Amino acid sequence: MTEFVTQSAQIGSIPSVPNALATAELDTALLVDPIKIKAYKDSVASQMNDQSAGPRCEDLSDRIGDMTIQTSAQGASILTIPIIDPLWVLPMSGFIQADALGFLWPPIDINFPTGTDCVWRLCQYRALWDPEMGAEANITLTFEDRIASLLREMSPATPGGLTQGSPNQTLGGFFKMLVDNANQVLHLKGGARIRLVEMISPQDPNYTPPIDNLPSSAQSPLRKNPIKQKSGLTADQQKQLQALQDAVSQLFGQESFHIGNTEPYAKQLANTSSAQAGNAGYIPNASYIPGLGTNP
Amino acid sequence: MGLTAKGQPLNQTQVDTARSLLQVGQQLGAPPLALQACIFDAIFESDLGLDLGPNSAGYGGVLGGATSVFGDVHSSLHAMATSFFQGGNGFQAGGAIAASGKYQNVAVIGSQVTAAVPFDSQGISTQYESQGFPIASAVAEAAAIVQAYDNGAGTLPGGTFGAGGTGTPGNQAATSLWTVGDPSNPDQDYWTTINQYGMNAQWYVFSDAETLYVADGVQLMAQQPQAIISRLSPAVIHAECVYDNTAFQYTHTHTKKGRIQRRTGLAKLTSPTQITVQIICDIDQYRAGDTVVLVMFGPADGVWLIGDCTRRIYDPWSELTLVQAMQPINAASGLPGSTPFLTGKQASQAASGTVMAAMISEAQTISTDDYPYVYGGGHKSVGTPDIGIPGGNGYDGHTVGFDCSGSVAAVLAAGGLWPFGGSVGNDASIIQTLLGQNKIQPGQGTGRPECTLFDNSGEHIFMRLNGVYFGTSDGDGGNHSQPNGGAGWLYDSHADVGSFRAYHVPQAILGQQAAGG
Repeated sequence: MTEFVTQSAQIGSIPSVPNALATAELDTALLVDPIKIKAYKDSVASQMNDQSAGPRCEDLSDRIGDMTIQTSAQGASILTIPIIDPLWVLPMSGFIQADALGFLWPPIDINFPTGTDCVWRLCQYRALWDPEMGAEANITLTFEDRIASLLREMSPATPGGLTQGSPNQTLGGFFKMLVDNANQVLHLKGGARIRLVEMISPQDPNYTPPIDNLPSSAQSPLRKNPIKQKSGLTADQQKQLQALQDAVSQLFGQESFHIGNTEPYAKQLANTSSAQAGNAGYIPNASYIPGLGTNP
Repeated sequence: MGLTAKGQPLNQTQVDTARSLLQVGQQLGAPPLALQACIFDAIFESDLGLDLGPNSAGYGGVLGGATSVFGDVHSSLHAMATSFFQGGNGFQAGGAIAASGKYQNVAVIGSQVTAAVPFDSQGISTQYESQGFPIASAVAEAAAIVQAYDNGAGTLPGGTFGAGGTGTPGNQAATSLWTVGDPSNPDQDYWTTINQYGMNAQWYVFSDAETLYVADGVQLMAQQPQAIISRLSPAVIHAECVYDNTAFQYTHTHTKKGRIQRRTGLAKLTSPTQITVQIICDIDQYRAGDTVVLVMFGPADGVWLIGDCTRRIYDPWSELTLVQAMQPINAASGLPGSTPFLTGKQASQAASGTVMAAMISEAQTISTDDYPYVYGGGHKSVGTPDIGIPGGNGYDGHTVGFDCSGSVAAVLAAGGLWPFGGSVGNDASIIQTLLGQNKIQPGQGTGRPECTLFDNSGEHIFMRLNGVYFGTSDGDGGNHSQPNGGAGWLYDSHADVGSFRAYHVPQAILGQQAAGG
C-alpha cells in the first residue's frame, strides 16, 4: 500500500486533495487485520454449525479459506467459501445434506459481513478429490442471496404457487404479485420477508406506481448505505468533487502535462454547443480536462 | 410495418395472437417454415384470433382445434399451438416441426398439419382456397409477420416481450397474461421467471441484502452515487479503462439521419466500454447496483454503474467492474425504451441536438446579447426579452431585458422543458409546474449532462448547466460577470446556494433530442 501511495504522490506533484476515502478506511492493516478476519470466519463457522442438521464441526473456522463476495447487478449475488477438507469429512459426516431430489436441504443461512443485514443461503456444494492437492481447499460452498433462494422455492408446482398474472397487469405489478405470493406461501415475516423495490421510469408502460407498500414491520433497514432512493450529490460530495476538480485544474496548470489552450470553460462549452466547431476558439479535446467542468 | 391478415392491417388482438403463437413455436425450436405455417393456418382458421368459434363441427380456437380435445377453445392457445408444432390432439403429419422437414410449401405444411380436408392436387386445403383470399398472399403475409417478429427480437408492434401484458387495454385478453414458465417449462421457479422477463425488458434484477430491486438503467443511474472516485486517490490501486469499438453488437442496427445507430445490446455484464477499479475500502462499501462518480478518468469521467463487485476477505480492496447502464426496452415496441438519449459529455455536444445542448446554446446566446436586468422581463413571451413591469427594477419603458425567472425560463424553453412563446409565472410556479410534469427532481444533478435549478421560493431562481452557473444572480445580488449586470453566465466564484433548494433535470431528459425552439 505504501508503495502505491508513494507512486501516486509522485505523479505531477499532485496537491493534497481532500477525499473521504483518505481516512481510516485506508488503514489497510485494519482492513486485513488477522483478528478481524478470524472473527469473520468464527462468525460464519458458528452460524453454519448452528444450522447444519449434522454434527458440529468444532474446527470449521480454521478450515475456512479466502471467502469471496461477488455482487452482481443482474441476477443473484454470491458468497463463496472454500474449505480445506481433504478427507471430505463435512459431506460424509452429514454436515452437508440434501433431500431425495438432490436439493441441498435443510437450508443453511448465514449473515455476512457481520453488522449488515446481508443473509446468504447455501445453494451449491462442490467437492474435489485429488490426493495430490494436499492442504488446498477442496470443498467450495457457494451461497446466494437468500431472497433468490426463496424465490427459487416457488413455482406453479408449489402448493399455493401462481401460474400467471392478472389481465391488464404491468410487468412490475406481476413481479410484485409473485413476491407477495412467495411471502405468503412461505410464511415469511419480519426480516425474512422479501421486500421489492421498483425503480422503473414512470413513462414505461410497465411502471407500477404503488409497488412498495409493505407494512412497516417489513421495512427492515437496509445495509449501511440505503441511498438508492435518493438522487443527486450530497453537500459533502459536492464539496469533494469541487475540491478534486479545482486540484486538477491546478495540476494541469503546472509543468506535468501541457495542454495548449485552456480558455474559460464556459466559452469552450458554448463553442461546443452552438455549432461553431472548426473556428479558432473550438478545442475538440479540451472538454475532457477534468476540473474545467465547474464554474471557473 | 404494414403487417396484414387477409389484406387487412393487424389489429391489437391479431398482434397478440401472432406473438403468442410465435413464442410457443420459438420455445419449441420450430424452424421458420413451421412458424410461417402456424400463422398461415391461424389466418384461415380464425382470422388470426378474431374468430375463435367453435363452429358447428366442433372445431375452433386460433388453429381450429377440436373442442372435444381442447375444451374452451377461447383460452387454449398455448395448448393448441403446442400440439400444432409437435403433433397430436388432432394435429397431423407429426406436427409442423416434423412436417417442415418433409414439405417446403408453407401452405402444404399448414394444410397437412390441421388436416383441413379435402386437399387439392398439391396437398393444400380446399377449405382455405374456398375462403376467397389467395393462398399465395396468405403465405406472404405469414412470412412477413414471422420476419417482423424476428427483427423485433421476439416482439411485434403493439405487443411486448413473451406472453405478457403491457398494461394497455389491448392486453386484457387472456392470451396476453404474464405467465410463470411456458409450455416447455411449466414449473419454472419465480426467480428464473423474474430474471427472464427482466432481461427481456433490459431491466436490472438484483438483490441488496434483503431487498429485491427491479430497476431500469435510467433510474439506476439517477440514484445518489456511493462515492466520488478520483483516479489519483491513494485508495485506487489499480484501474483499467477499456473502450472497444469492435465489441459493439448491432442487435438493433438501423440508420438514422444517414448514420448507423449503435447500441451495445448488453445482455450480460460485459460491455464494449468497461472500467475495472480496485479500490481500498471497507468490505461492504460497494455493491453491484450502486453508482460512483469517476474523476480524472478522461472520457470516462462521470457516473458509472457498478455491474459487478468482488471482495476477498484477505484483500483490503474491492474490485469494481463499472459498466454503462442498459437502455430499457419499450414494452410496446420491443425497441429501446422511451426517447433515445445520450449520456455523459456526448449529450452536451452541439451536434447532438439534445435538450442539454439546446439549453447551453440558449444560455450562451443570452449571455452574449448582454441584456440588462429588467424585472418581469421575459415573462410575456418566454424566450423574448421585454420592457418588464412598470415600476419594477430596471423598468424605463423601452429597455428590454430579462429577470431571473424570465432568463431561466428562456433556457428551459430552448430545451423543450417549457413552452416557447407562452407566458411564465414566477420562480415558484416554474418549479411547481416542472415537478408536476416530472421534469425535475429534488436535489442537485450529478455527472454529465447536468442541469440544476436553485430556487428560493418566491424570491429568486438561477441554474447550473454542466457545472457553470447561469442567471441574473447566483444569490448575492447582480451578475458581476456581465457588462450590463443582467442575465448570462455567472463567473463570480462559487454560487451562494445556501438558502436555495436544488432541483435537477434527470439525465434521461437532458440526453433526449430537444423538442424546443
